[in-house]
Amino acid sequence: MIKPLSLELYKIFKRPRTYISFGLVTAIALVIQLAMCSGGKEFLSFGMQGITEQFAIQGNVLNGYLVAYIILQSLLIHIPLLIALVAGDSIAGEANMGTLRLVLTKPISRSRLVIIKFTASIIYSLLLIIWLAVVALFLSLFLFGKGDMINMKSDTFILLLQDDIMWRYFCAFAFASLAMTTIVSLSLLLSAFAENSIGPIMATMAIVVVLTILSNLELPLFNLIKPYLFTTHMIGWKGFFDDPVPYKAIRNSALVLSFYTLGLLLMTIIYFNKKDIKS
Amino acid sequence: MDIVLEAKGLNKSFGNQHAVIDLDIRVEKGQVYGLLGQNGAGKSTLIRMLLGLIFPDSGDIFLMGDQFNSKKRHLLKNIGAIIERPDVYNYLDGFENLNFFATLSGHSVKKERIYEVLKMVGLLGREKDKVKTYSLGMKQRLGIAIALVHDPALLILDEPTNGLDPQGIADIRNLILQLSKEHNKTILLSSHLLHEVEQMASHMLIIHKGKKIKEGLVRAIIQPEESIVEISMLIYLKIEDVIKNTPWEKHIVEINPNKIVLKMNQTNIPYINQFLVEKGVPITGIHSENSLENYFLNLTND
Repeated sequence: MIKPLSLELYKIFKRPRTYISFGLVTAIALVIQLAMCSGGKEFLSFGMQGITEQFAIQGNVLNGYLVAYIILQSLLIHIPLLIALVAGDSIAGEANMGTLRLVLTKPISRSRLVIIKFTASIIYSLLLIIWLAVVALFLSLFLFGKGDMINMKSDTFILLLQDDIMWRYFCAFAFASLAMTTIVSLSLLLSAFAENSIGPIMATMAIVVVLTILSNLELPLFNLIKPYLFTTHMIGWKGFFDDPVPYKAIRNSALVLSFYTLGLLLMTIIYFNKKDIKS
Repeated sequence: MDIVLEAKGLNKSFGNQHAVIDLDIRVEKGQVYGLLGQNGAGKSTLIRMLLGLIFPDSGDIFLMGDQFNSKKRHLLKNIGAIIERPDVYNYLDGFENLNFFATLSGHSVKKERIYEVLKMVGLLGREKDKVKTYSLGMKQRLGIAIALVHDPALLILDEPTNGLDPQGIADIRNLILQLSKEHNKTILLSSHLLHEVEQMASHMLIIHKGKKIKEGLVRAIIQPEESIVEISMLIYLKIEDVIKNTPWEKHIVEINPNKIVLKMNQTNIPYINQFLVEKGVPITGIHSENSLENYFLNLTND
């Protein structure tokens, strides 16, 4: 298992397209950081108008924690697309290239192959999340320094003391990693159906976008299905920035995401084991 | 004789399209077995079934005496294959590709073996170049190297000369013959070109629209009982009289003052030549039209 997995990772990281994701994450983080450097104070004073009328805010408000949170808010919806670039390509891309049939003439079971590709895609996702942590959190802390973080919500705000924040970020990144495994499973299933990688990448994004819209619409009909949509639970990482942390809701979201991940993976294995390889 | 590969009653349909119909195949140890058929005849479907890529609707496949489905992973260790096109990872170099597939082969393949195979297929010196810089012929040779690297007993080569130039075709043909003679490999190869099968295979199976048309020794199949024999001569107006009322008369297909066309066994050619010369017929040439392509076309003609 280790050797084929290392070969799969070797293939992933030998392809230039793999690094597009790392480049994009870096670029977006840098752009937001640059914008916050130049006009961050004005942006904050506008956003905190309601607060400053009633409270006297002192200290380094525009700090690395807040900038990282803003970057994560803007980026985490786009990360699934970057994950799908690799996971969606993993089976369909090989079918399109013609290498899948050659791989399957080797003594490796189809179930094992799916699990290797799933694991390799998860490792890629974890590395991307770690990279996101480096450029969004650590670089922001380096550029803007530490301070208490103000988490602004629609009707309230939460003040998190600077010594009480880092663990929240670690938990948030861990949760985001779990959410990304669901995206990996979904992309892999779609990849098993397709003969080229564009289809599964686009389909993954379409599903994520449509379900995210349904998750955010406040209509009675959608309220019924929201708890069952994985997109509703993908944003569970934000819970770590609440006070108190809603552990029960986060655990529930983690369970739903895990259920989706395993279910989609199982479906991929069953389908792929029965598929005629005609590519 | 050991049977390396045997399939019985294979059937496969894609929707309403019957790709393979009740097909049997039997390849013995050391044979170069040709699978011949026009494009779309069902060769690739058959090969994919033999390799477990496509699941037959019915029928059984045995490899080295064992049922394929029950010991698939074990049996695939003894097979090397290329299927249709030599598709490999273009962003890796030749050595990396070979190393990748060698690792997946289930055998412990040493570096020395990889270099030995690279030398065998004539790619030594180019192994560190990215495959995207290879010509089609080089990719085809790399495909054969991938099939060979774990030293399998059986090689399955689907259209191994597809898209190659004449020199490339000759190179691959020589390599296959070398693998058979010097390395004692059992080889199943498919082609839509009869002369290619004729030059490489000892046995062959002709399939058309998924069905078996003919199977046996290549020698026996391509030398059918009757050939078309054209005898050219200087204009000789009495030729009809010469042939008339002789045993040769029944073989006549067409007769002209400067040409006779007969349908007869090729072994009779020296005798009719001698007969006509003795009768003073000014023969300028004899052409036996046992064209393999014509023969193949006749067999597969609807």
